[in-house]
Amino acid sequence: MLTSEEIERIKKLIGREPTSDEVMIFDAMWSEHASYKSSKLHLRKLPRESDKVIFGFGENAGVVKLKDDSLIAFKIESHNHPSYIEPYSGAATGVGGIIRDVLCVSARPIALADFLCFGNIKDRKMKYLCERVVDGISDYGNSVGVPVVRGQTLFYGFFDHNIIVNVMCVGKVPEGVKLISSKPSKKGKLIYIGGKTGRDGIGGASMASQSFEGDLSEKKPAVQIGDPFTEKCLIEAILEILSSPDIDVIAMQDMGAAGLLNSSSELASKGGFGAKIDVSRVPKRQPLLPIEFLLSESQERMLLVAEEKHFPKIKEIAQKWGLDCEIIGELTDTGLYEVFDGEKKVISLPISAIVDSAPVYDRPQRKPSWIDSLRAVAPEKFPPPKNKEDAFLKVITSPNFAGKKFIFEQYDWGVLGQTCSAPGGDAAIIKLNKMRSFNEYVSSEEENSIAIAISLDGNPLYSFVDPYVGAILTVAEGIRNISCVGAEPIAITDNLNFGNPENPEVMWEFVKTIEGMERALKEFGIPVVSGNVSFYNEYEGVSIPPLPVVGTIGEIFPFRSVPKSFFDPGSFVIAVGKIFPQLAGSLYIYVNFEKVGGILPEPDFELEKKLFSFIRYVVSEGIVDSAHDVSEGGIVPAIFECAVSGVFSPSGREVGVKIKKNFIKDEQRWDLFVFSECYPLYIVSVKPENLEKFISLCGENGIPYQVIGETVESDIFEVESIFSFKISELRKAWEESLARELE
Amino acid sequence: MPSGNFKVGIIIFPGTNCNIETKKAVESAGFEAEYIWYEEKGKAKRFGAVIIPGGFSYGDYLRAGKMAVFSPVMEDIIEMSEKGNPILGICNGFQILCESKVLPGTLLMNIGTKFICKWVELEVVDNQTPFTCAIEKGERIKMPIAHKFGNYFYEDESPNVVFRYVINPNGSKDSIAGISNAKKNVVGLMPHPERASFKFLGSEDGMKIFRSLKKWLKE
Repeated sequence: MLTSEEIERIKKLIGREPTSDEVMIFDAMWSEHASYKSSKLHLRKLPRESDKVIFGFGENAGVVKLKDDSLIAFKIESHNHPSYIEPYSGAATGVGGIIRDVLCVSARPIALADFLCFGNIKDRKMKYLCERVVDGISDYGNSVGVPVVRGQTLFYGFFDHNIIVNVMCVGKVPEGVKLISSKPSKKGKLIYIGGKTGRDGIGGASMASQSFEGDLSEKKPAVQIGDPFTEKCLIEAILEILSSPDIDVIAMQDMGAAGLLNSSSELASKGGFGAKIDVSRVPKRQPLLPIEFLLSESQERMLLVAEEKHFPKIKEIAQKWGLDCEIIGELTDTGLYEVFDGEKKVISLPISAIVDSAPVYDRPQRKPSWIDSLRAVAPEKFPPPKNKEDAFLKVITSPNFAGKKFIFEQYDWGVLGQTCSAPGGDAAIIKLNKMRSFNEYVSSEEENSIAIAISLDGNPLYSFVDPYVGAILTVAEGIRNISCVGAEPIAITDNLNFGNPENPEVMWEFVKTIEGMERALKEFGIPVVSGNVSFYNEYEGVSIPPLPVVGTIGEIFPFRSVPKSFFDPGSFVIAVGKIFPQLAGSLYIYVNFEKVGGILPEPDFELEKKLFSFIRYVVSEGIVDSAHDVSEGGIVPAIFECAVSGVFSPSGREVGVKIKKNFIKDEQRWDLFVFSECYPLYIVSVKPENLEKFISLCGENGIPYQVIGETVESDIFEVESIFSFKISELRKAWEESLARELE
Repeated sequence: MPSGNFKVGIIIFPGTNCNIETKKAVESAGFEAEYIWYEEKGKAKRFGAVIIPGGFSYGDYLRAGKMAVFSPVMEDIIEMSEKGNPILGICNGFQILCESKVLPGTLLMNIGTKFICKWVELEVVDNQTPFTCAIEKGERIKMPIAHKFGNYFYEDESPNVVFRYVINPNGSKDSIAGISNAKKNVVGLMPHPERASFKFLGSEDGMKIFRSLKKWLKE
């Protein structure tokens, strides 16, 4: 909702009272969702450049160039608000929207990753929301033929009234297809292509810029409805258009938040043009008012700029794919945003007023009153549980650690034939096939093939306890994950999920998060190339904890083979990095004592950086069979994951592990070590014949390590003198608990 | 029926989404492959064999594979199936072949009502088809499945079973994963051989399906 100051600002800009339609236009364009008015000032601090960045902010998706010159586009987006109101359509259209962002730069969408947070899993409503969100992503993603290759699903009481649905899409520009900007270099016709426009999603951008209060059912019409079949046809049609040698597309933009209005005005303004639109030419499902044409967020629609002479060919391809396609307007030199309904002019506004004149706020910040008491929680004061087996079981079967197979098996992770491993590992590996045309791979296997690694990470407990360090750790986690599969980091995309920015405590958390990300990105030397901010995740005055979600892209070149999980018995299990008690913000404390708190130490940046390249090296050279970093859950749960995650590979199985007590410095306080989420720390497995080489490499590079166990043939998972289980039974408990909880 | 025609046609309906990797797998097996757009009547008949790849033809609206039945290319497919040309339907392609009665039976919703995407093990029950002739009878091969409607069902006449799941993932009657027509030239299966045709994907077993076709057309 526009404030009275904002209404005054509009009056000054246009020199008169705005009409009610004009107020709706400004309300959408100046909404937090569309204008970033509370975040812009701070986002500028993040590093955005590197020699690999081709497109950064200001484009529909970030684009980076890989070592073999492949162009990779990627971006993340949130659909938190709509998914809470209408989970199926909200999540489905979140997938559809981010796919089109990537398509817009002329990339074929090749992978999706999702990050979901729900409230207490015992709550019936949350079970329902989780089921329907997963259905929405599954039905849309599977049908549209883009694999969901990685995901995280978390359950914390913080999200009882505001769930998190963030989806990242990665695309590849087919060889021989030109990269397309959203900034037109010259004038042309505005060409509408896609499904028809209806009344769904009107006011979506504004809805996502408000906190929730009371009954939400009246907001349902503001949620869009998705049609993956049309989206699939749109992908193929757009790529076919772009690869036709005789068609020249000047610019492209998808109709997302605030629909036709936002896409046409932003695109025109970026090129320094005005725009003229005739809504009577817009393909429609039902009679609509001019303002409804502008604000509808009907899905699966794109806007192309091209010269009129190319239109017949564009329309022919669109019709082949069963899509509507019309010239609905043109770019102009008037500096105005003009809307006609046939002959009748219905809107005329300076384009700069609606696109570039939204206020930029430096909102007040205040350190939250409760944060010191949160930090005063001393995790080491909690007594070690008497029943050690039970404490361990509780952690590995808690919904935040449990195997997510129940969810990811509902996603088609293998379509397009490039996914090297089922979801569940540290990072997804997508082998990039060279493309002969927009829908053909080169069939021979090249010598120097390349793969990308994708990770998507966020930790609400860390960010809640300390938004600054939490943000650093989130960035670090992404790079650790891709290092574990032998990839070199290139860039990130970020989704910043926060409460109400008008609350100074939320704003403080936001600024601290940005500062933490800035620090980490500069230390690690990687840029952010695209992203999204979702504010107003608030219900009746209570905001969610700060939650930066980071999508990390890395490259593996040359690509040789996929690292395994623990695979063969008779390997050494080695901890690489520093071992020390670290239970601040830990899952163990949360699960066993229902508490969050403590002081999160800053990571040792030097060691962190050294380990990124060391782990990458030993994985890609095959000196270690597997690598996995210690994160939520702690050291022994991480080893457990290594022992069981092989079950998702075609020939995999679980492997027995015997862990020594040598890393437990104080046996009385075994809990401080078994569940320590210390960082940076990796668990690797090394075959006996590679041990000597591994140890000498650690020595040469000054890498701390400790041999802490071995993989064995027998059905066992034990920590010497602490506890012992059958690995097959543990695996079953871990794998089945989530499905049972969600019943 | 060796025809010596090593050109394979891959049919694209609106909503087909496994055509790119299927074409790559077929070409890597040594074929020349070409796409056939569903409106191109007569084109399919020029090919030695035809594959209907996976996806969601027409968004699977009405019923999985149903809408595709009424498309021009299916008239060619029916004619070719009667003539004995090798035809393979993968996933949605299998559903389409059942819907158009080229293959018997039908594919119902998975017993758990959810989409399932995972690796499965198959037993090759019949190696007398163009798509299994290079595989040992009884051999076990690994491929992923990815479907919501893969629960095979038949009522009266039992079909000629070509592939069976080692562990039934979806409720299919008799654990059937793939079948053929009586002449054995038309094969449909739910698992995706093209997703198991290269080492980097985790298994190369799927390539055996395409190599079988090569052998069949040669001999």
